[in-house]
Amino acid sequence: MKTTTLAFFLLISGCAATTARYVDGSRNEVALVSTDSAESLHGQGIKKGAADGAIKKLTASLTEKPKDTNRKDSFLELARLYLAKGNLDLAEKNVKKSLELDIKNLDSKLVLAQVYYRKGLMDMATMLLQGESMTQIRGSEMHNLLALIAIKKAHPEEAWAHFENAIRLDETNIAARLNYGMMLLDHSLDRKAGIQFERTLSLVPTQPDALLMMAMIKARRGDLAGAEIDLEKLNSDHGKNHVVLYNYGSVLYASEKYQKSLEVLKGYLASTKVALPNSDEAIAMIEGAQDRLKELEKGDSEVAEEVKKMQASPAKTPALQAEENREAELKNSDADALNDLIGH
Amino acid sequence: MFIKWVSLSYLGFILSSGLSFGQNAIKKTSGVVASPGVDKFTAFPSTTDTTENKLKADAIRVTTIKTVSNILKTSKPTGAKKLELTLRLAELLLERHDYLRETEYAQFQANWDAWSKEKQINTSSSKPEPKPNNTNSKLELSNAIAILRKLVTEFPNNPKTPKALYVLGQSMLLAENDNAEEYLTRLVKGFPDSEVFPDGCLALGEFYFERRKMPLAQEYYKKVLNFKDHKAFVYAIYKLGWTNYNLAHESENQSAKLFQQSLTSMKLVVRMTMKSKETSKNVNLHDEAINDLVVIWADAGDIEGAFAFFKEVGAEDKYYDMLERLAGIYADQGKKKESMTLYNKILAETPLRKRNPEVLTKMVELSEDGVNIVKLADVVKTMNDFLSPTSPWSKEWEKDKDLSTKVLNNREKLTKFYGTKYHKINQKSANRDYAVSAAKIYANYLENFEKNPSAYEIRFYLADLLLTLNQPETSAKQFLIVAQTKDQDKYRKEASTSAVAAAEINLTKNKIDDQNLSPSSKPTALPKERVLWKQAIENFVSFYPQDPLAPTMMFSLASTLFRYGYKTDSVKIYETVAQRFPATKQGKDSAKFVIEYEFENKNYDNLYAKASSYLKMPQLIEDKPLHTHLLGRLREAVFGKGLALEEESKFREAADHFSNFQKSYPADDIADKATFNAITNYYKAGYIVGAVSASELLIATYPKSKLRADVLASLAETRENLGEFDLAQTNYMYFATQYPADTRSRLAVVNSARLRKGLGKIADAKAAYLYFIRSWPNDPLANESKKELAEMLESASSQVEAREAWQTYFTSAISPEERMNAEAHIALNSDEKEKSKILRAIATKLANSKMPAQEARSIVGKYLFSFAEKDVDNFIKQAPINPRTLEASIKAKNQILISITNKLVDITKTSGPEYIVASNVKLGDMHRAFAKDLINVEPLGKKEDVEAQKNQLEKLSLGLSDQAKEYFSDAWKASADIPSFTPWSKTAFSRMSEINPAEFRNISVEIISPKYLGHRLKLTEDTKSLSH
Repeated sequence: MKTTTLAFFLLISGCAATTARYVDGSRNEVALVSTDSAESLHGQGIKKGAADGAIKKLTASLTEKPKDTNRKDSFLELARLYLAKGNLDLAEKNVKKSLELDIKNLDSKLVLAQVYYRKGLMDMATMLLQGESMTQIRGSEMHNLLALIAIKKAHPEEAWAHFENAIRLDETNIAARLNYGMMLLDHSLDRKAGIQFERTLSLVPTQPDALLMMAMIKARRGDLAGAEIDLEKLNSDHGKNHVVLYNYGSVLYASEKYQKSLEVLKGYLASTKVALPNSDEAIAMIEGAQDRLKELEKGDSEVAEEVKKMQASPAKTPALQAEENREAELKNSDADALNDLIGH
Repeated sequence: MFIKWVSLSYLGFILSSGLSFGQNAIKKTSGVVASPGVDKFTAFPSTTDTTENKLKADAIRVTTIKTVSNILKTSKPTGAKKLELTLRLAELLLERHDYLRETEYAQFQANWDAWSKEKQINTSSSKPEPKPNNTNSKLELSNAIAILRKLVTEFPNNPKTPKALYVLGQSMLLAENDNAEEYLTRLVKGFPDSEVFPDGCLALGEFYFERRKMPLAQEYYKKVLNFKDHKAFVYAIYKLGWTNYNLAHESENQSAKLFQQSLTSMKLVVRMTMKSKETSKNVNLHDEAINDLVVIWADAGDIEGAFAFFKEVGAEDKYYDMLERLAGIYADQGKKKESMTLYNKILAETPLRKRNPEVLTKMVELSEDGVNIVKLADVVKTMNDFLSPTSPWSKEWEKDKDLSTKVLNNREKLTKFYGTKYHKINQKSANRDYAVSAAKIYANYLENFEKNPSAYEIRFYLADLLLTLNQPETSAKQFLIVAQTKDQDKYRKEASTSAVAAAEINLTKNKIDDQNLSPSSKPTALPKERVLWKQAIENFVSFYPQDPLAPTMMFSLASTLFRYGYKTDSVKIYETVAQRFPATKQGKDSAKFVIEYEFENKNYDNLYAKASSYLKMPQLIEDKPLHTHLLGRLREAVFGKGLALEEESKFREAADHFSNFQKSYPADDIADKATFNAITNYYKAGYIVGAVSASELLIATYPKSKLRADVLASLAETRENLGEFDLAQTNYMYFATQYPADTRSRLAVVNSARLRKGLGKIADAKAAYLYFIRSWPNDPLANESKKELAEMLESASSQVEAREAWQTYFTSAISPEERMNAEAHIALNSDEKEKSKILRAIATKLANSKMPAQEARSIVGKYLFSFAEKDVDNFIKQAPINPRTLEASIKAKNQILISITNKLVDITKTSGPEYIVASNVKLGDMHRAFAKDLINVEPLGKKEDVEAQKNQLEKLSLGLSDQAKEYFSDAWKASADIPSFTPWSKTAFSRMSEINPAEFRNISVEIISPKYLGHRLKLTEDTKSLSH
């Protein structure tokens, strides 16, 4: 029996789609996950050129073996790779070739539906998936796609049901778990969302989108420090990603690290020219942070008075002791804030 | 024996042998022996002057004649002077006669040559043969004779008279005037002492010899012998020998003696001319005497004696000449055996002798005796062997190119002559010996003259003869050589035909009985007779591929080869016959054979190609049974080949194959089946474009095909699978309308309806759904269709139509739950009054029911909640509690609270989970707002009362707050159970965060849009790079 090997690679950069990879050794398959969501944390590629290498090889095989009985599979794999890379036209072209070789191939039809979905042709995708044969044999990935279409069509109940089915049919369906998790988290169903992201990370421990969302769930569960560390790392890796910036800023704000929060949230607002989903919230937090900082500044001058008194008398005043405690607490969090506090 | 003496002057003429006048010669013709004329040795030495000189001389002569004539006319001399001048004039005229005659002969010769040449070119030329014109010369001769006659009359006894008589006699001899005898006799009788007496005697001897008056001739020749110094002395001896020889033939008793005398004369001449021979004088006479001795010895029968004599005179070679001549004489005398003996003796003893070719020629001629017919061929062979280029004789004479060429040409002609002669005789007489002999000669000819242009013809004759002689094998081979001779085609056709005929005869002769031979599975060697026969046929066909005989021959060859197992070769030939001679029986039979062969061997490619080809040949298919047969086999080919290709998984090729059939025979009975198979295979090959195209073709072209329904159904499904939904829905509906009785029609209509719905073609979709519902009212899908139609119309905001559709669905819905849901939708599409009435009625039903009816509950919940939510909002927005009417205000507000609460509680009982959450949130909001109102009220009155009132109000407020928390908590709990994404979940969390911020941290989260897709790829050699 084969041992299941799990691995994850940061993904293709510079493409409309982001792709994750998960090798399922038990099925001798590699599972790729892609999204055309701009805010997804783009990776650095399956291994630079791996997808292109596979495309090249598949294309060569098709050219060199015009009578190969596996051509339909090769076309289909090509279509999947192009789809994963975001080249929708080539994906469509190849999946249609695959369909021409095996007109009833459900996998091909699924991929074609995925292409239509990515192209925004929801009705076309729906009709493909609603064919009699498709409704009888619905796999995990098909449910995932139906759920996504349902979201687009504002049929949340259907979406929910399809996500549930997708995961029920394939617990390793990372795409479904990510989608489902995002939807759950968006609806403040943190516990359920956390399950999806945790399961995702158990399969692909470095999946950055899942890591990001898990950091936020961690924060909402009260582990602000842990969340901050995770987010700082993600911010370091994906500094200009507005989702990371917002969430990082949000956690910093909740952690009352107003100055840093202020900077991060300002970075969020400046991260993209397009409309941001939470710009109002970000502005509110920035204003809140600024207010809090003003309050703290006022507090600082009072502390300075106490220090002078201490210099005159070595005995610590309660206020000075409180300030020292505060300094110790801050030392671990933000060096810059400390420097501002002691006036350097 | 006939011996003729011809006067010298006419010799060349009479013999007509190409000898020019004045060139003295002896011509021996068959059966005739002529002695040389005396002129040769005496009076008329040959002239060697050039024509130009002769012309000049004649001009002078003419001038002289004129001068002399003029003198005689003008001066009128008399006596001896007149005689002298007149004689001179006569001599000049005679000379001129000689000159003119030579000229005339030359002209005649030229004319004859030209005529002869033309005759050779144009055998049908009617131009008469030229004849000599001696008018001028005869005129001069006549003039001379006349002058001389007058002269001898005028001067009978003048000293110059003997000469005049002699010249007159000679002139008359030339003019063939027998009166010459008179004047010559007057000379010898009247002037015995004159200088020209012996000349006169010789002339008389010649005159009598010519006229076969041998005794008289002898008399005058003998008179000449009295003049030993006379230049004709030896000649007279020679002629005397001839007179004895002739007399010997005429005499019965004195023959031997006369022969002996004759021999003596000749020997004497030879001996007397030995010396003159050495000085080149009388060479001819010497030689002729030697030769004539042979004639005489031959008749005398004394070969040994002759040999001794020739040895004595040192002319041993002449002995063989003599033998040759003797053999010739023997031959002339009919003594062929003796002649042949002599010829053989010559060849044996002097194999290198120059004249041996003539000897051999004579031997050949001699062998043509009509008795031993076959022997001639042997002699011809001997001749050719003896004279072949490698023979000693040829080596000896090879430097003499002219001789070699002449000999070669002669023996070639001779061989050919006798071959053809005997061949012709055989053809006329049917005498087999002639055929045998001719064949041998022909064969010998070919051995010796293979490269001669005539060899081609000879070989053809030989082949023909061999066939006559029942030697068909050799005959066929020879005919084949003739037929295949390059650059020669005169006999090609005949030879090619005859080669086949001979080869056929050869088969019969050798009893090659293979007509009933069972066909061999493997090639078996052909008997040599069959090989030859095959070669003959192949030869014929190669040269005359279109000949009417060709199909029969080729057909026969093909069938024979097939019997011997050469099937491929055989079929090729049959194929050629079919293609080349479609109008013939053989062509048609061949076509059938080829087709059957390919069919039996399952060579479907060939079968298809050939059957197709044949079917395009009008002359073949004029044979109706064959036409039918070909069509049948063509079909077999199409399907056999197609199936074979399918079995080999060569689907595309199979499809193209079937498709090609349809293109070629669109009107054929099975064209639709072929198209169907093409479609099937295109599908299997994954060539959907082809399958679709072929499907459209079948649908459009074969409306009555039984396969059309399947194809149409499949086409619709294919298009749906390809995402060509609009075309697919059209095909589905077309199928349904074309084949309403087909069981697939019901699904086709539903599919069409659903696709139209997906395409946003609401009206069309509605029509399809209604068509289905009408056509299959009791079908399980009917209810589903009704519901789908209703849902579609509702989505399209066609309220009236939607209501009607839901109403229809409602009436046929099976379960109460379905009816409940339908009723809710009916309400949803009704006017406000009706909607309220129905939905509230449903709410009542649902409140007391455990029926899931999620749709109904959702509709009812949403509807009722919309009113309740407004109530809540109004409640919250209400003006603060008036302290002046504190109690009443609180009571009134509480009443409203209770009222709204009841409504919301009702909603939680009848609605789906979403509105449970929503209702609880709103309940919480409402209670919290009331609590807040209460805590903010500033009661009026005394300070103590106010404090007490505040405490009471605070107590009330805290109770309401707790109640609100409970509602929020319930909402939050309920939100976890909603199997849907609803904003109420988030609202519930938010409320919880407000009441329990430590546990429900309201940290704002931005998510990543859920757009993830999964793609599973098999790990193969091509994709393994993805796993690294």
